[in-house]
Amino acid sequence: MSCLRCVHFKPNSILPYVGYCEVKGRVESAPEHLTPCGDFKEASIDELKAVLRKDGWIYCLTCASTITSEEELLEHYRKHVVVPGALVDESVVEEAPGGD
Amino acid sequence: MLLGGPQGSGIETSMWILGRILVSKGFGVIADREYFSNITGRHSYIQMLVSSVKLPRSLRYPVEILASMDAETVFTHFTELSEGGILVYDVNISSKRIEEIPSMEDATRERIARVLAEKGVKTSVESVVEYLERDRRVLPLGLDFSSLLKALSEQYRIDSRAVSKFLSGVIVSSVAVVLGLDEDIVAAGFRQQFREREELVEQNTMLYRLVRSALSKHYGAVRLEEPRLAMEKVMVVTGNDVVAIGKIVAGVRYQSYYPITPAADESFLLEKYDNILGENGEVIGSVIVMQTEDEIAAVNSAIGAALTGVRSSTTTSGPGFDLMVEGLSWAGMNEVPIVITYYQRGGPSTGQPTRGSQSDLFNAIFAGHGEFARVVLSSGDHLDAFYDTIEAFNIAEKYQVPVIHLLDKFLANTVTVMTIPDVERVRIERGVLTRGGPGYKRFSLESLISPRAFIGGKDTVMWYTGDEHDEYGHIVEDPEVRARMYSKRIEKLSLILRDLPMDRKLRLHGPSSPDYLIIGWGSVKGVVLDAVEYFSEKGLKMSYLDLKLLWPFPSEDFLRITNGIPDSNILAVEHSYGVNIAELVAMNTGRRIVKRVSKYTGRPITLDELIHGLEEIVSGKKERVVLSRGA
Amino acid sequence: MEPRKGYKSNVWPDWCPGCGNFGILTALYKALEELNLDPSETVIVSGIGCSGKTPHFVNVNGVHTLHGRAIPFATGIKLSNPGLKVIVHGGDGDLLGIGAGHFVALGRRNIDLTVILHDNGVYGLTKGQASPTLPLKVKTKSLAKPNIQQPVNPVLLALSSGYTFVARGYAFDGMHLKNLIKMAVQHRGASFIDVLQPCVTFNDVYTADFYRKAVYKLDGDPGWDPVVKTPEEAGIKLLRAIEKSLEWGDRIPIGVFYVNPHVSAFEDRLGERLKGYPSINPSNMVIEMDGKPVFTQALFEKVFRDFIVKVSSRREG
Repeated sequence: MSCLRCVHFKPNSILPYVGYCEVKGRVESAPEHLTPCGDFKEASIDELKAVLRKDGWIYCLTCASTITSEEELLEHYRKHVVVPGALVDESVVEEAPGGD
Repeated sequence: MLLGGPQGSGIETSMWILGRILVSKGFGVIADREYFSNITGRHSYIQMLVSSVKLPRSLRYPVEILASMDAETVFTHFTELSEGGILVYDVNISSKRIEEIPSMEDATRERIARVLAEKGVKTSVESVVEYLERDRRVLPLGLDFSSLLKALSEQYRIDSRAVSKFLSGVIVSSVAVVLGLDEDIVAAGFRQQFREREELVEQNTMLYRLVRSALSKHYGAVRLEEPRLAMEKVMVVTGNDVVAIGKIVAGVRYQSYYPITPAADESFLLEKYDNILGENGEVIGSVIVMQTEDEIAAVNSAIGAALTGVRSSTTTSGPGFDLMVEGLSWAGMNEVPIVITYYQRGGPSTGQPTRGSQSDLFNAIFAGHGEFARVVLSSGDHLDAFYDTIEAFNIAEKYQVPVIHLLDKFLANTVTVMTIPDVERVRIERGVLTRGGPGYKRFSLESLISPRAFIGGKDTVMWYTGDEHDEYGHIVEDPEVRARMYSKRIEKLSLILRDLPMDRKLRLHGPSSPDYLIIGWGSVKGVVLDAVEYFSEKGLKMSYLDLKLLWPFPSEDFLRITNGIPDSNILAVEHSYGVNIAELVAMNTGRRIVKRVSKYTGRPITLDELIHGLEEIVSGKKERVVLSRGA
Repeated sequence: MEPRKGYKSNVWPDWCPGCGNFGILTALYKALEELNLDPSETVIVSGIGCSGKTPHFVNVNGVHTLHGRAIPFATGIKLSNPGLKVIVHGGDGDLLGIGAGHFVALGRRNIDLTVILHDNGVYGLTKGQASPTLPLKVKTKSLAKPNIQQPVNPVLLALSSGYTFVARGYAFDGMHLKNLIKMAVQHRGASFIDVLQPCVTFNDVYTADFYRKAVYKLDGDPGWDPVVKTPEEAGIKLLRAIEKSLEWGDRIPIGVFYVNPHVSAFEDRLGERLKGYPSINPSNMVIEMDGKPVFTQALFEKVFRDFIVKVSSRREG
């Protein structure tokens, strides 16, 4: 599932193997890309650092958690699937049942 | 059936679409929503029951269909799937292991891991699926969500932030296919849900075709009988909805609130309908829905509004009600008609904000210093809640007392099908009103209920004060006036008991001389009635006494109804530790109810566990049963 | 300044001799008289404390509420019947301690009502504890030790909360105070008057004598213009008002600090979403006819049609 390792892919937080591909400009599903497509670019540690600096956060899919510092990034990068962000689905607003 | 997925993933949408489709075909539906105190990410599920013979009023385990959007749902609920049941799941998460689900609480994970170990099942989704298929004869319907999405995205532009719409479409379609619902009716359901968003209707309809083709062998695998309910039109509502609707009909024109789960949705709905238009679009009224800075402002501004003659109320839950208590005491002291709608949730303190309970019985009845008349009402189901909401305001204004309408999260969030209320039989009773005029005495001692004028009434001036007061409303410390005013307020309680018809105080369902009498209040009504029916068919005569007027407690009526039934044949059921209704009964009547069924996990009592629990009590095995089914 | 008997009730005011409340009360009577307000359409809402008793001494509608909560009660009263003139009286502990949350909330809403603060630096009725306006290290005769809390600045708080008429008066300058009250009541929006008052029994530091020497009038300076003429100059006028509000000690300004008629009143904001409001308001709506609701079955099913599902019968194919 190479999309999950690609710097151009931002998963949807609800169904993490589905997300937005910046290059193709559309929704893509990672299981359909078991081999990397032509535009695959590994989300290297430097790429991720750059995104972190730009957006202020990136996302660890394994932990389902937001990373906001380089130290955290280094900790997660080695063993987990870290992606350059996650998309919050529109249903969250529509369906949020109230939690307090 | 049980539909599960992460919060904010389209589960609610699935519920509404499926629910309305089934209702429009003539089935009865009830659906409970369970969710975490969380915006997105944690697990949530809908437990739905569909009936072809009646309007369902309770839920039961096991379920025949488990439709999962994710791995967490499979792990959390696989033990609740019946033998021979159907599991719908995403093959792409087959290899997911329970250790890899960060959103699952450790306690839950450990508990499920133990169960898996006991059964000799490995901790992956596919192992669970294998186990279900092999040992429980479950039909596993694995769908490739990913390729479905791919096929869809080749035809339509899918918004990467609207993947939930796709997911809800998969769930709806797969359940619809299993139930044998054809494309026309499902497409109509999509159309009703998505209204102006035509492209979503098209996408979901295509999804239905894809799913149907993938599951074609299993179309109608769960056979639904032809519905025999014979209803032309019905209402599909949650408890929050029905109370808001009741308030609009009752004439409420000021509602204040502070956002709190599970009450806030009622105010949001009121706000949606805040302009009330007549047949020809003319303005017949509007409701001020005021979000205040805290619950203290909510209750006190509602009281202020009531002083000007407006039917006003506030709606809250446990933590919020606690803040309102000083205001409640002021309202009691000043004989102000207001209604506080109190939806109980798990306590104490922040408790379980999104889970239900009936633990605040004593809080509603006894909170507030000093002795004064207040009324506490309870409703057994949604239709009762509609009429009781209106009655609450009638009682408040007729007797000039604060009324607490004590409900709970179970009622608030459960979606149910109910008959359309008969609005024309509703009465709006405003009590003894007067225009006031010069020399007006707001607290006239000439009668127990002083004729009420409103602030703003022509040529009328009146005073209100939290202090003990004279007939004009001025502060008084004279002992004789004090005694007369104090007792005037409290004596209203006896008047209320004398005045109210039996039907508003308690309702007996079943024979008057049963083998066993179950007493309870609030939303246990549905599941208890179903249990009573079950036992009656088995030859054990049972009845349910639904207590609607909790305060002032209808002791005489209670004693009369239970006369001849020994204490040992009376049971109480409540979502609490203490089953406190039994204590309330003891305090007011001297009858001691020892046999109790209690549940306090925050999940609703289901029919299967109640039957089992009642069997244990009836057989003499236990006197106190604690239920705990459901994740 | 003899008030007309019309606004005086027949309840004996039981405040201490020399209490600043008497000055405020007299100024209030006179203001009501000069404004010629209809008692049945006027409401005084108070909190708890000595000032809380004020409504009982005035022959208009009176609502003596809970400690700190006068403003929420007043909010419910005013919004339900916007035709009423509503005046809130509260002490400094009541409005700036326990009631601070509501005090600020009113500023955010700019509801058309008037708040009169009885500012005496102590909690009188409970025997003289330091209140939110008593400065740090002051020791009045009712305190065992000097005060260890900083005061809050009522005028500054009102300005930053959004009150659109902010003034300060002195209880024993009755004419001046009466005029402030009149202006405040007539201003459309949330008005606030901080009334400095001595407490003869418990506050021997901030006495009538002290105030007489320290207080000076803002409008003594002909260049002082607190009224915001155009929305653009609101910022500057607010800053000037803030500066003046920080003056304390030997020279304390009284008068009008800030008036901004360009902020929408809450009633108008409600009017944008509720048809006909405020002239059609909750207190004058018809909610029943002969004991029946205003909804017929047909209207009910029309209004709530989103919740109604028609069951399709087999006959309809």
